[in-house]
Amino acid sequence: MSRISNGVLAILILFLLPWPGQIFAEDPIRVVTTTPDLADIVRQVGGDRVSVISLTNGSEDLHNIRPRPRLLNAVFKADMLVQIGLDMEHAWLPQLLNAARNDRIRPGTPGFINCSAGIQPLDIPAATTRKDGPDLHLKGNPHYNLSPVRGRQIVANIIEGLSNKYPQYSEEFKKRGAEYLQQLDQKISDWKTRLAPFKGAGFIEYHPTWSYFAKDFDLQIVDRIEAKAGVTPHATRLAEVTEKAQQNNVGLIIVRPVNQDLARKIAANCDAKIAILPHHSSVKGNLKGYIPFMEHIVSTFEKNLKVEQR
Amino acid sequence: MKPLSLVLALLICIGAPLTSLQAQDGSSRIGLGDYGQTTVLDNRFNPAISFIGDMVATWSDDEGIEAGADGFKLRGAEIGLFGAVDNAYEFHGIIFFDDEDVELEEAYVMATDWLTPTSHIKAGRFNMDFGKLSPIHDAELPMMDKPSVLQEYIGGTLKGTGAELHWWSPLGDTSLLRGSIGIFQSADSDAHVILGPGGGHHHHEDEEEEEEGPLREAGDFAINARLSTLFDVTDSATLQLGGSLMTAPERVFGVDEDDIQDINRSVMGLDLTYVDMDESNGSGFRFQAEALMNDQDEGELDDGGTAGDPSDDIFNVTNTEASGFYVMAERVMDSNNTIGFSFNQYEHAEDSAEESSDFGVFYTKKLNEFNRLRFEVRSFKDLVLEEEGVEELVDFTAVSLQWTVQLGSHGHGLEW
Repeated sequence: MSRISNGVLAILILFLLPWPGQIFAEDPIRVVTTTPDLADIVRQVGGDRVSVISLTNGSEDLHNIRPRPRLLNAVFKADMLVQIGLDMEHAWLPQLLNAARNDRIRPGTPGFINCSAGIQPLDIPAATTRKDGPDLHLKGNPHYNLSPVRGRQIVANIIEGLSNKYPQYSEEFKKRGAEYLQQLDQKISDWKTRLAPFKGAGFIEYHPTWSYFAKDFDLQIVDRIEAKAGVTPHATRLAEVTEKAQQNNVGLIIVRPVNQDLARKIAANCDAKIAILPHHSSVKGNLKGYIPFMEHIVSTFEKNLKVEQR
Repeated sequence: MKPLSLVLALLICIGAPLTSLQAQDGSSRIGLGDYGQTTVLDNRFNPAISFIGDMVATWSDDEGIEAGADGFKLRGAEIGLFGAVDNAYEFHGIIFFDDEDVELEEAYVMATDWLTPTSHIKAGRFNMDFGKLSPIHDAELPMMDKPSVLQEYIGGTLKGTGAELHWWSPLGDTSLLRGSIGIFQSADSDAHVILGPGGGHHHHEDEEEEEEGPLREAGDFAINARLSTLFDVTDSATLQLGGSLMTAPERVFGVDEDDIQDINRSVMGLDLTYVDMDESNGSGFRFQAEALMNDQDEGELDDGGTAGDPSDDIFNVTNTEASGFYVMAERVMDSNNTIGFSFNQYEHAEDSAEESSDFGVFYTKKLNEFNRLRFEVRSFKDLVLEEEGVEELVDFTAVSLQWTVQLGSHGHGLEW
């Protein structure tokens, strides 16, 4: 055999060597989640079996998501879709699903996990009219991810959903899920201990958001700056909330960055601090991961709630 | 005892139907209890319904009054009906009402599983997929009216009765390619314009009296095609580049029925859109531009100087190529407040030596997602007014206030 032939053979072997590994390696399950909280929990449960993309980065208003190529491509290629539900993503996710036409993740199939399954919704409006606010959530408050107790249900739903779709990995998912639930339970116990001295303490929120969290830790939502969901409050409303904050000696007003100016007007006339809190964990930084995110939330309440208000 | 008997009889009367309903609930016989339609007026499979009302008040200087700009107008009210026919077909219908007319604006069936998962076919009457602002309805526009260049060349919106195939494909993780091609009976125009070259009336070429022509041949249908790419250039910004082409051949009788002449019309459009939005607070900006090239034939019968003698008649076909563009930019200050401007410049479709332009600024206040106010000032230069067949070029400035409300079903889809 000539030197050239040997050389060609050597190059061919070099090229072919990695192939068997690639051929027999299994592709990870492509999971798309609507929020970084869900993405983190799927990673905790799925481990190396999953590759996860969050459609949002945690800082957005989930009613304002702009469907765009990155989101559509992710939904199109996904093997599984995990959503918050209770109409949290109703403004944009149905449109993405409609455009992507990915049968693997269609609602009602094993590839679709609605994490609100098993959650008892709070704040279900008594009347179904937009006179009670244009941003009314008819199915109830969708911010149950802010309750670590209900976070357990999210974990359980994800374990069940992944196991249903991929029964061959079910034991693995259940084992990982149980380990994560154990971590979460320890944290919940710690958080309850830390917030126990504040039982009954009141705070003000902008929009119906923190009901589940308040219920977990026996806190009281004294008032909402937004009298009706989606209606920008006027001066009269701000005066009413300020008066209530003064009467109840409220120490904390919770808002998103976009609402902080209105909160400042109230805080200027009462002895309350403003805390700017996101509604979801982040895809990067200190707030990456559901447990670190909830830790930040609990710490913020712990630092700012007034004990004497009890 | 008599009153007691009466009360007992009443109780039995009221209780009897309840007992039968309870029996049905508990029935294990299919068809008697849990299954089966209980009334012919069952409402559960009705389509989703939406309603849009669009009111406008406009004031202008003297020449604008001639252009019909002044006063209060109900631009229109739209009722939309959308529903799934079955697992693979959807039906969309939009009915438009204004002070004078009721018209079926769109009515089409969408087949979603005929070809690939990322393609669908629309069949019926609908807005053609041409450019960015032509296919969308007036109430969804970023400014009050369709840009003047669209009004001039395609009457605001290209509409047709026919079928259109849509398809898209991912290009990597952050880009995609999208295309559509359609075949239509004819290319019609439809807009409900307040100000501009199509203003003051509904522009319906399809409603014009059709002249008798030769039998339609296979190549006589209007064709529309669009290809566009969308790129997510950053986590918050998307760039779109697109090209559209519509061609509408028509054959007419020339001097007599043996003389068949081709009267063709085609419009080509290129568009660029850049959107950058911060979704945490709803702020951002949008830049959009479309350039259109219009190529149209006009046929005119010349009697050769001898009226009543068809032997020296000549059918003249003249061709005009004209082009124009609009640019617009919007600064979205937050989810409730937007300011923007748009500028149009275009050669006249029937005489490219003449040119018109307009410039407008607009402020949109969204009281909430369903209730929107818009204030717009627009200045027109050399707008063509036609009075009893005589054309006149006028300059004027108009101030408009638009109020749009929406009820019912709607969503935020991809901006294809």
